[in-house]
Amino acid sequence: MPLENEYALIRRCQDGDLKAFEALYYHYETPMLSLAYRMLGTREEAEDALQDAFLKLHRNIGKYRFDAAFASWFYRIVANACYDRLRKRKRAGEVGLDTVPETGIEEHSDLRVYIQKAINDLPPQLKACFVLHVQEGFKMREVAEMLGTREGTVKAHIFRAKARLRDALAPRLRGFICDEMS
Amino acid sequence: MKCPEYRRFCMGEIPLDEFAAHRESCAECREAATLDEIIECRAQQLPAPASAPGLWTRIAHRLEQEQSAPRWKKWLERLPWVDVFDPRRQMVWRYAAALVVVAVVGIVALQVLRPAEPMPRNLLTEKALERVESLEVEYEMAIGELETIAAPMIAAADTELMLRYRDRLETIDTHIRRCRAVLAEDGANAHVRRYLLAAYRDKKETLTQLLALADG
Ligand SMILES: [Zn+2]
Repeated sequence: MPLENEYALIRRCQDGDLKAFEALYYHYETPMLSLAYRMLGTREEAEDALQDAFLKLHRNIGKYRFDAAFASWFYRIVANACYDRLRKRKRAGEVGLDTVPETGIEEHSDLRVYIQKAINDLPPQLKACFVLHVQEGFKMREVAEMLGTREGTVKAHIFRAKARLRDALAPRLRGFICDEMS
Repeated sequence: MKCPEYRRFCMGEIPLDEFAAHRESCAECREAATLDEIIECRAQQLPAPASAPGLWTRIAHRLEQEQSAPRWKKWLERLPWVDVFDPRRQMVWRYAAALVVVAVVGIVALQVLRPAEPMPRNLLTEKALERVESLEVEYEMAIGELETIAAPMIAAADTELMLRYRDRLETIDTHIRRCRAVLAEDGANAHVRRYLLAAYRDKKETLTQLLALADG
């Protein structure tokens, strides 16, 4: 949903208006939280990454030149804040999270948990590309822009991510295949 | 996977119809593609939280802290390694030196290897573009008239209020120049068109306020 008079709001933020920044926060809270949660796998870490991203946005909003869509510019900041955390996590030798998604458990929830776990276990680069393209719906070219890499690299990462997910989930998904193919 | 066709399709090397035909006759590719479709669909349906209660309060508190900190402290806090002089942090310098080398090589390599790619953007249709351009011309004309009347006031600005108006107009002019520079290269960039129109509207309103001030 585009922000009504985004230009005026950003201009006010650039002038240091905290109320305007609050309005910007509430406009972007849900989509950015979704992105951060999908990339990091826990609500706590997603909120921490979002805090980092908004603080960075506040420091740098004066540098925004209105020469590209603001949303893409900000998505890049959030994606990078999450990506940094994923890399730090990897450097710290932390293995994939064992946490279960915190939202309601319903029918087929076990499959949902396994898919979430398999995504969480992907290496940072593959996971960032998969989440941004498949789950958040960005074009591969946009993902490449956000992560500062080439479109071909993003394609290769997404292919490898899918191959890993397939390997991890195939035994549990064979039943679904029969349904799909019948 | 033994068969390379699915990978080729995913990498954009073969078109969909070619892969669709292949998929009919290759069980391995069919299974991989079907599994991926299910996984993608399920992954998109995974829930994510919609709000973060209390997060804005945390952020606002941090912003207030940052704003009340002295200027030198703000700069120091932004540096990634404040305690570089700590002898235990010798590695930091080595990392920094290595980073400089990597950055220089990287920048040179990027300049040489990477073709210039335009930012992703929404393309305006030709009709919409015409409408927007005619709106821009209207604004330019209105602004031109207002500017002629306001020019002597801006030039002679001496009160704090007038100086603030002058600064504001200068900022808006900078935005307008940047937008025009982008549009000169990429006229159908919808976002920048929208920003340009908003900047024109802003300038017109500012000039109108300034003239009302002089009348009052
Ligand atoms: Zn095949």
